[in-house]
Amino acid sequence: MKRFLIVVLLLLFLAFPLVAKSFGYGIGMYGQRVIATEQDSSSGVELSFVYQPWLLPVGNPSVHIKGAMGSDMQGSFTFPYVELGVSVDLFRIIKHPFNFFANNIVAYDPAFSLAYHFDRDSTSHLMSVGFSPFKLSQKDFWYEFFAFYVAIDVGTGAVDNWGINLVRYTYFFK
Amino acid sequence: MRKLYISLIALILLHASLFAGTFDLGITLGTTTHWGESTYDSSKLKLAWGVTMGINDDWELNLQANSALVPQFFGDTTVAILLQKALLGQRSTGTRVAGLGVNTLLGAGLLLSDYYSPGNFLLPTHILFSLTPLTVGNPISTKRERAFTVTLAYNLRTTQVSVMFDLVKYDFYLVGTYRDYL
Repeated sequence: MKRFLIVVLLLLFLAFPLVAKSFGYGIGMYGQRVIATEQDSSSGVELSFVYQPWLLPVGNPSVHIKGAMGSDMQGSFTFPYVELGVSVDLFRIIKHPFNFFANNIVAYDPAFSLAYHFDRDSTSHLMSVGFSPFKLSQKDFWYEFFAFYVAIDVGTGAVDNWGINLVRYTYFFK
Repeated sequence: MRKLYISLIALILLHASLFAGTFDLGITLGTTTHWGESTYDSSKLKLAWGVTMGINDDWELNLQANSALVPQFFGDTTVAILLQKALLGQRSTGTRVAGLGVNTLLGAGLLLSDYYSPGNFLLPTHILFSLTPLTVGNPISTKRERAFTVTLAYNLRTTQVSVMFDLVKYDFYLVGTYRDYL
């Protein structure tokens, strides 16, 4: 009985983050450059889902899954990648030079990310390292500009592709 | 020919200031894509950057460069010149009062590109018809967002129509804001 109670309490404890406004979805405009075959480079729309359990002032983590769809250099429709990974906000400050961007005060929280980068045309395992230098956040929104990543072949250590998100908007609905 | 085009663009810009009843000037940053002419323009991710100039309280002139970011970073640039009218009311009151916060823009203009002479000087290649269904903000409040702009581009050489789509653009005003009317 005691063990059961402890398990229930632990589950409740772990479930608390779900109560917070932690889940978000995002839309961005991506471009990807494939190093080996330029013709496979593509650009279009990137969709993402984010889970952010806490709101720590330093080192705030979140989990994301992203999928891109667009057209390659021949104009053919393509799904270039899916990413699953974590990102960490380095810090969150409200006194910064980018407050002119919004009517309300927004926080500036640049973020690093690390993700498994799945490319169906590639047989290699790819790891994506990203940085979002202009990430602004409010209670319900993230605004990101010029977020970029580099996808590295884990086996060889070579850069397989790189990409940039000109804008990405993430809305936290729950 | 090159001098003529440069002179015409300069003339358009200078000419606009003659109508400067409620003149304002802002920097534009945003996104743009071009669909339907992948032979000439294969990138769907372009940085839109330029200036927006208020000619009077409901007309404005936009000079917008569209630079591809992939596969080459800033590898290909076209320039759009658009004259636009605010449909829902004054885009700027010309006073310290902010006025209308939401508006719609309708406009026409030219696209200058190097589609037919790659790497050479930009030439007028398309006639543009543009609709921006939603703008939020105005020059007086120092910034404005333009969302979901759809532009039909009529190619003068091929007579085909392609579509340009700007998800969002931000105008940051330097002149003609509330600070100038205090």
